[in-house]
Amino acid sequence: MLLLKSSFNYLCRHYLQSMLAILGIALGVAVMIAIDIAIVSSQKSFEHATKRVAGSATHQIISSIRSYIDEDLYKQLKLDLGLRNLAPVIEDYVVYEFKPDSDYNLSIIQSLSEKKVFKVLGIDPLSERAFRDLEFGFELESEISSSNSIRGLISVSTAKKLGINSGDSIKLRVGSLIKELKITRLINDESSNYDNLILMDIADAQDLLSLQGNLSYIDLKLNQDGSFNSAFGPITISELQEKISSSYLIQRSESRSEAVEKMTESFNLNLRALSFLAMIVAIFLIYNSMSFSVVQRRKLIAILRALGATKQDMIKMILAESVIFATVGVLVGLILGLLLGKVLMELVAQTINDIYFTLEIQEYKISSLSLLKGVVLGFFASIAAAIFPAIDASRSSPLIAMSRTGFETKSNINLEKLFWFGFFLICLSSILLKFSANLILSFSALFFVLLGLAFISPLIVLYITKVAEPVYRKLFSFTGVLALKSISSQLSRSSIAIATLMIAISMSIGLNITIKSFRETVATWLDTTLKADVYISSPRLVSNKADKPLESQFIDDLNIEFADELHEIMSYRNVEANSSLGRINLASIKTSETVRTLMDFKALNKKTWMNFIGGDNWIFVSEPFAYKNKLKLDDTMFIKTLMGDVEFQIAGIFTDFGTESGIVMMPDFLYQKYFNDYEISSLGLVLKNKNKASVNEMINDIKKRFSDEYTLFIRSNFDLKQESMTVFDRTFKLTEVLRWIAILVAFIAVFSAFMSLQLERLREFGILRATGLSPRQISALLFIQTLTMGVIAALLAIPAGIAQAFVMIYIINQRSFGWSLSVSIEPNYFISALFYAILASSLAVIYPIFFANSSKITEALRYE
Amino acid sequence: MIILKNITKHYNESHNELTVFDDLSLTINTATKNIIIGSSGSGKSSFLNLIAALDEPDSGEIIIDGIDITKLNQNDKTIFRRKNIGFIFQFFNLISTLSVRDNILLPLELNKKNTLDNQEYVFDLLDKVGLLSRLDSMPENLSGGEQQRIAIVRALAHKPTIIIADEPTGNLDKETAVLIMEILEKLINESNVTLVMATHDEGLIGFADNVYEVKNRVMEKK
Repeated sequence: MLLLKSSFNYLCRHYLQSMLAILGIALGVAVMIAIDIAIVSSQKSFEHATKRVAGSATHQIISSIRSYIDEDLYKQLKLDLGLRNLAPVIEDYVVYEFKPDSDYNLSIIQSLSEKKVFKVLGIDPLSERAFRDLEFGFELESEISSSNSIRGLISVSTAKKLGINSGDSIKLRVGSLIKELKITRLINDESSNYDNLILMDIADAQDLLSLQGNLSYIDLKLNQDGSFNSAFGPITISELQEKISSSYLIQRSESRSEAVEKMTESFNLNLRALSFLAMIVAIFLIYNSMSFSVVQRRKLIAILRALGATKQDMIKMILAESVIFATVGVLVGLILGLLLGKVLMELVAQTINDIYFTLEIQEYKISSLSLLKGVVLGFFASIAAAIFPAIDASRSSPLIAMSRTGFETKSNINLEKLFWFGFFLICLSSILLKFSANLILSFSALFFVLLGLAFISPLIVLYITKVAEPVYRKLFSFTGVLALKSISSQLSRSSIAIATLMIAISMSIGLNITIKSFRETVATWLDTTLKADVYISSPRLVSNKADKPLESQFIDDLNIEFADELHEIMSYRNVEANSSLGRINLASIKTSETVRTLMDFKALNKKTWMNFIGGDNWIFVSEPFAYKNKLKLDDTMFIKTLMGDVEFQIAGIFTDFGTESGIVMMPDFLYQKYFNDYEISSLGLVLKNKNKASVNEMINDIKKRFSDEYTLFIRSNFDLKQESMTVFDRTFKLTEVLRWIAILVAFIAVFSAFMSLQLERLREFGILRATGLSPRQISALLFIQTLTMGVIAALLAIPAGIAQAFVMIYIINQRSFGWSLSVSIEPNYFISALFYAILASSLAVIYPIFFANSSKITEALRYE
Repeated sequence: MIILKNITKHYNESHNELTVFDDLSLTINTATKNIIIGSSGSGKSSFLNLIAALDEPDSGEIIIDGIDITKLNQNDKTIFRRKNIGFIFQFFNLISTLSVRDNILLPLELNKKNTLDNQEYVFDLLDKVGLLSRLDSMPENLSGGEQQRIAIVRALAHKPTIIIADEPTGNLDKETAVLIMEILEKLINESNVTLVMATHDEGLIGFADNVYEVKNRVMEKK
């Protein structure tokens, strides 16, 4: 107990050092918790959204080739097969605009705050009662039954948030059209099941969404015996599947959220790994603080050992200190994590909306598991970081207590052994990276690389100081040499500070190179791919997907009225389809010579283009799609079409950064043949006159001509590229936030390490001042030493950062997303790294300089 | 009783081997006051380190109250030290992060004997050295003489059989040094323990039952 009390008093006395260590743990824990909350909240929101729409349905019938199913199927199931417990459903998204008059054509990116995405749930109240409780205290049928206007219900809380009253008519954007909806009644819904949802009669929903004759899916309820109820006796899933066309699929209700979970798996794992980086730096901070406190207390520990405290007592004492740090750090971290979680949740939602699917995170889901993870990791990291210092403390010889000639201040850790251990870790990581395709192992290897680099750095620092000595002698004379000697003679502490800063800066360089390389590659790809001058689509909910087709009337009119200005119209159709590899993004293009030049092929069959346009069943697949499905050139895959499962051969693999899950591309005539779908999702107009003024004039003309009838998303080539890069930057905003947090933790670590290092030497400074060094010389000494450490850290961080970038680009990115990027390294990354290092070390030395010069020499000499 | 049999001790300094003791044999009787004198670097502290189980001889045996401490492992040596030895250092070496109360109770705590009876005994010792009023003071607020008096109480707190004192007055003025030695003598006599003290101060010889001089790798009784 007294040992613990002694520790506690020590930590209180060195409160600044303790506070910084605690802050480091707190930030590490906060990031872990915040990321987890953000991920769990997004997953739960989607699950919740899926569940509340699914009600008690166990299965759904969906189309395996189209987004919608034919309404006749419902009649067939009900009448011909006598199925009971089934309900037709329309489900889709519409946008309620806060600023309905805003000009979409001018606003390149719509802020999420300016629009509210509603999910439309169109039901048949009679059939639906088998799946959900529709008792709202009023007769539902009369409130939503079809009349002259399109009618719907929203929840009281949603209405309150948006300032909508019962009886109001609101304008909704559906694809390229604006439609009006009358809110006939508000649902008093305490369970929040109907938040952000418009409940409608199925006929009204079809009208609103222009889906007459179509359904999104049909809900089914399976009995406990594994069969569906039918007027003609029970019918099993496989029997039912046989009786309906193969273009329909019976799937479990949960499979949609499972698919979504799989879709965002890599994204989430990468986020978690980044949050772990912050924790790794925090571990360094704790290690730093603990080993400092051990070295500072070497004599005190020796006295305790002489008085009879065992090695185990010392280990327990140091570990107990780490537990004290962890307890306070974790508590503060929990609070910070909850606050940070909200911010990150918004960013996660934004990224998911940008690249995956429409999602509104409604619940800030603080799961006890998220908190537990943070708590466990906080304690684990603190204790793990304290193990080496604790062992170091236990090795303190009690003989030091008897020493009259001062006491040993060096660490007992052997630098050479440490170097070889670090080298071993790097080799082990290289083997892991080379031979394991597992993503978690790859991230572990990356962390081992970081640790390995930290372990090898002390010996390198020692050699650098030796080599630099003659230069310093010339440049800074005695003060310079003294500064350099201070680094090498206190290597056990100075090297920790250098390693911490090196890790932080290398991480920053690594992430910077990765993001910038990614950005450059995407920009080059956009330049290659975006060859049309003007792009037209319906306004979209997810940035990289055209959700709704363009109106055919609009396309016809455009073709006729602007024929003189147009050189070529490229048309695209984007849909989702089912295949032997699961749900896929399928794109069809109108083939032409222009289109041929747009594709940047990673692999290409020699006769490809001819095959592709020649009428055979040839397709192109994007690089991520090929990577994730382990496909190579000439492999085949089956796609569900109206003509059944059709085998397609892969003629080429092309670069594509449009979707993370990848895309399959086929010529329009094949798509139309197999899917009987002639709709167009977006158009690319190649103009005869390509100068900027003509392009802008064309855009204005199209707007003027069609804006009364349609809401169109019209962008010039330049705007589209800019939009794509904005989405790209927004996607990496999260990474940037996490990078800055990790840098902040590292900065605290370095600040703490440098400051402790210098404050500990106050007695030495007292002696130096007593022997004649002026305050200016002391300041110069401190400044040169700390700055040298910062510069060494930055120099070591450059190769370390490049190594990390290569691992992230060539291994982790490949294994996560399947994209191959070209590395782009610019000198300014290293200049800014050097700047951060100098800034961190300069700031850290201010207080010690002030303290060393303001304290009286006699006090400094008494300093203990 | 402390028995040293054929003790040899070398130190390696750079590339030279420095022999401190060569075949040293010696017996120190229980409950005696023993002073070790000798010039700086003669081996006084090395001798104290050996009998305190802080250091190991290259050869020979050190038997204390029937236990050959050279045969003990590190952990057993620590436990032996904890139970049987009290230390008084030249630089006092109080634990700066603990109050006077905690410092003097620390040996009891380490020996798991922090009972009320034992605490009463320790506070009584503190009273005898005239510092009971400073029970809750921190070491940094005490003078050198006061710190050393606290150190004496701490050394005797767990009723050890041997007190090892390394220049206990070396860092004090003459007047305080005399006071400290008077207190030490009084408490040693009352406690019936064996004192082994290294000092430069030949003025303290009168205080001892036995005086040994370390010179040229041997230790002779004067």
